[in-house]
Amino acid sequence: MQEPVLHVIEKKIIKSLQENPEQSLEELAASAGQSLDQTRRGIEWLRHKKLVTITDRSDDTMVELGKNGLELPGSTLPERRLLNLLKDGPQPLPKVRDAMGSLFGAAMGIVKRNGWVVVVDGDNALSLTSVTPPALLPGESSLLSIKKGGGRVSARSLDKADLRELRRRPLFVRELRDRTAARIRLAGRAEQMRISDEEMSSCAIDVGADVPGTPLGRTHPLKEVISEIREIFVTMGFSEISGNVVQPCFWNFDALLTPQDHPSRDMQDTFYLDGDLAVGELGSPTHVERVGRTHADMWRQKWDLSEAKRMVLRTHTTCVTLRHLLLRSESLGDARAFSLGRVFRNEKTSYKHLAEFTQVEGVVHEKGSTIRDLMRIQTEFYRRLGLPRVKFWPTFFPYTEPSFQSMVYNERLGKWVELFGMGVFHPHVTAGLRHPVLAWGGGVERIAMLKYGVDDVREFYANNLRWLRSARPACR
Amino acid sequence: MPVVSLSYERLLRLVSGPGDITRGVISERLPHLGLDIESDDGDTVRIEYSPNRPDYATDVGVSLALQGMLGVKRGLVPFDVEKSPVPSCEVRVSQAVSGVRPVLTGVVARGGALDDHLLRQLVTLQEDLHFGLGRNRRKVAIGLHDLSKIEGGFPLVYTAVPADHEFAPLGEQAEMTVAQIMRHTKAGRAYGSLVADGGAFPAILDDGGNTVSLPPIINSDMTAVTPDTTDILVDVTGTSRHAAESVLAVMSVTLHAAGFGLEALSVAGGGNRTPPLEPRAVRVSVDRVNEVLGLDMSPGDVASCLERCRLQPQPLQGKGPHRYGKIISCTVPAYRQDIMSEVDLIEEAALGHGTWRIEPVPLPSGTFGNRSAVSRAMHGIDTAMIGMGYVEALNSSLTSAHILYEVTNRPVPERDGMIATVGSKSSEHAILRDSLLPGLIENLSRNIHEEYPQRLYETGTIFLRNHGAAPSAPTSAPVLEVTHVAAITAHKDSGFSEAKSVLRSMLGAAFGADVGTAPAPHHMFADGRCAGVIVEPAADGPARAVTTGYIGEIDPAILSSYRIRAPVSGFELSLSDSSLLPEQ
Repeated sequence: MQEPVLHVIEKKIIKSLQENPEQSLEELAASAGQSLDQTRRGIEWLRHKKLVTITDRSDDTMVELGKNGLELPGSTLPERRLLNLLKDGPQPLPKVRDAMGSLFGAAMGIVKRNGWVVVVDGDNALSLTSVTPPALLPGESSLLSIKKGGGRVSARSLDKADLRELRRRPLFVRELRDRTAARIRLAGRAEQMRISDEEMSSCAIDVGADVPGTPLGRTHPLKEVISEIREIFVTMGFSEISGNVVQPCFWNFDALLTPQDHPSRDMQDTFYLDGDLAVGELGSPTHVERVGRTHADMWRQKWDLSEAKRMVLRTHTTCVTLRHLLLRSESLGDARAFSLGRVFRNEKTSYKHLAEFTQVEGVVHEKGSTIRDLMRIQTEFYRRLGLPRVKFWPTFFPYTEPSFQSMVYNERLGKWVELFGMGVFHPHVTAGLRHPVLAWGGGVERIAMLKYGVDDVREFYANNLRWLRSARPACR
Repeated sequence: MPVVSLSYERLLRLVSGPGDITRGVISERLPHLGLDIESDDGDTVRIEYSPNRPDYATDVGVSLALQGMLGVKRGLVPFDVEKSPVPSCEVRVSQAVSGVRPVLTGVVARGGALDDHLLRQLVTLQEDLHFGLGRNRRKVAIGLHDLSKIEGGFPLVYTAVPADHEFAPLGEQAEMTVAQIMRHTKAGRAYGSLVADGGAFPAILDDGGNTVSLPPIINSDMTAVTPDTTDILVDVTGTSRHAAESVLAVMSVTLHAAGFGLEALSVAGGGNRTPPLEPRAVRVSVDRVNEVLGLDMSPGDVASCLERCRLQPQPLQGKGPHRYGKIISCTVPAYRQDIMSEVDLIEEAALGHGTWRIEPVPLPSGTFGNRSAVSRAMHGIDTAMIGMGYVEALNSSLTSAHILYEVTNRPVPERDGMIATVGSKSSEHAILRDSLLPGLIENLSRNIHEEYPQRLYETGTIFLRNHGAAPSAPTSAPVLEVTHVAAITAHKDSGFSEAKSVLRSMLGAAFGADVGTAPAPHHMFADGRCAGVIVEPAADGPARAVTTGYIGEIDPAILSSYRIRAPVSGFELSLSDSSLLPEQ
């Protein structure tokens, strides 16, 4: 059988125990010439390898002086002081009482009980009797041992009867469980191991041993998914654009043909900012005018400019991409653009809904591009994210026509999951541009949930350090 | 999105196709009609449909679409409304309702066989139309009545009644006044506010003065529809004639397909008309279809796709494959109010073609991609901060007054700058943050049982009211959006020096800039252990001696209110105001 690899700390401990088979932690630290901390660690490693055993003699206690014991003048028992006062003959009672102070009562009790002292002269003086006290009074031998032992000794090392004399005095001694009583002994093959002096200075270490963790600095797992998505877009020829979170309704809803009485524009679903925040300019006057006319035609109701000027927290990033396309329409040739950012819905948060989440959105404005090109971009996008099985189902969005949703197969859940929506912007939305615009987008958290195997979307914004330090992608 | 449960057995019977159309075939095709399958136990399938297709609320409507898709029946759904020269059923609309709810339309459906199942589906359809097109009954509301129970007979009159008008509303034996209905019934409380106009309420009365309906609130109990009903009167009232006639068309086609014969309801007065329920023509270019879908279909192919969607392309002349032109004029039935223009027909053509048959093609591209300059700058910060052992945190932009103001002892006057949302459903997401540090401190409080040292950083957008004074890009937008970075450490030796040292390393590594600090008090930091940050730009950068951030040791009072025991220090810096970000 292979010799276990031992650290030099372990070798020193074994060597010392081979010379002196049973030692306490402190003794072992001293005899092996290592710090208490090193020794403690070494013992732990050896115990793990079953090369030492530790016996905890927990019945033993350590004795030290308690409050009253420590306060004794000259560390002398009160009865000893009383006997000393009378050593040269009888003394007047008041004088003895003054000299003894608060200890007088306790001392008198003991000396009278033992018959060493009597009251004489009509209760006015004290005198020794013929009964000679022993050379060491009961308790004195223990008191001396404690002092000699540096203030703390093992109860086992003291005479039981003698210690009892101290124990019964209030707060005189304290007894503690003995931490040093744990005895360390070699076990198994350790007793026979040969450890040369040369090896003692070897720097070989136990490479199989467990190690403490190192705190990790890292970007947020959700940001890692966002970065990955950004990289995929860039490698597919898309340029990143960004825009404001706070948008006038005009760009968030009206320019995208959402009727002004549509339920999604309710306060119930959308965050409006306090009424005094309203924008002056919305866009080019011709565009604003055209949007108003389109609404009147399509939805057969009056279009209200002041409603379009109210400020909302954007409910999607489509307003950003659309604004980019339309405001640059003069100079715009072929364009592939994407935006990534926070969007908002006035929802109660739950394991599947957030009031604020991240959306990515891409657009293609190129001559001759069709819905099949859009499907190809989607398929490639998901493939690069590690999601190879994709299919497309028709669906409805107010501002794209035709509209599809991509369904992606999730191995962990064993089912098809709805991911990004896509379509061709309605011609009314992109009037003024040269080509139809392909667009698609969706929530990033949904993808991050699949990648990190997270079932509660709130985890991404909880900033729970344990999770942040340990989260790993479930699929790559 | 609305959801409806359909029975396969009924669907198969309604589609009534050849034997090879099985449950499996149907469940495979439903998603390609745009219907999401929520669940499917083999007998019942629950589908989610788009609010622009209310005709999918019943199995009758879904099976009409399936017939087209599976080739059982093509072209327009047979639909005709009998119009006799002397109408037996007539409604006269009084001027009294013109101010509040002026529109009325309707139809009579005779000789059908209702059962529990169909009745339940009709009610679902009705509720769905109320909610979607009807904008929660404000724009449109529908009433269904048993024709034979209209005791006083025709003509009906649609007029206004006073609050003390009495009748027994649906589900009640006893008569109640309108005022009582408003107060004591669920429907009255929910919808009463839609018509409460000076004490007069729209009502439909029969020729004997009996109440038929109190739209849009409740029908009378007298005309309640039951599974024994064979003849139905449908009334649709509202504020928009277009919406009301669209809704009526959906109800009509569903009743017709369910076996009822339709008869026109004659309507007159107050600008109202007998509903035409006529189809209309929409044109589509075959080239446009191919351009959008990336296909190469002939006019005949496109026409065939449209027929499968229960639409009727009109041939130019004759018969045979070449009878359609490059521009197809297509007849669209009244119930398809979602089809408004060419693009809608392009989408129909895609569905008729079969979306599973449209396959991805490679996209030739001549463009080069780029990350934005801001993303690149942020990446530099990330690299520096994680190199120093920091963990990135992400907090919502929406936060609470508690975190942003109360816990951080922020002076009360600063609340004037608060940007609040209206009617947030949770107090945790009620106001827009104007700094990042309060969120990070709160994050530490959630992690007091985790291992120390704890180091967190965050980059993100903060929001300020635009008073025109901030150095951020001058703009007319009412809210300024500014990019910040903040970092925080908690451990037993955390202090000012560490925070400044980290900020210096980050600015140096990410921007080649340095940090200067000058004493400045701040409500979040301990007195005397706090400074304003002045970014000293790289040699070639523009100098700007303004304070753009704060750094220091967090006030122990804030920490103790969060029960954080370790000392905490940190900084927050506006990147936008420090000239560190490229102009967008």
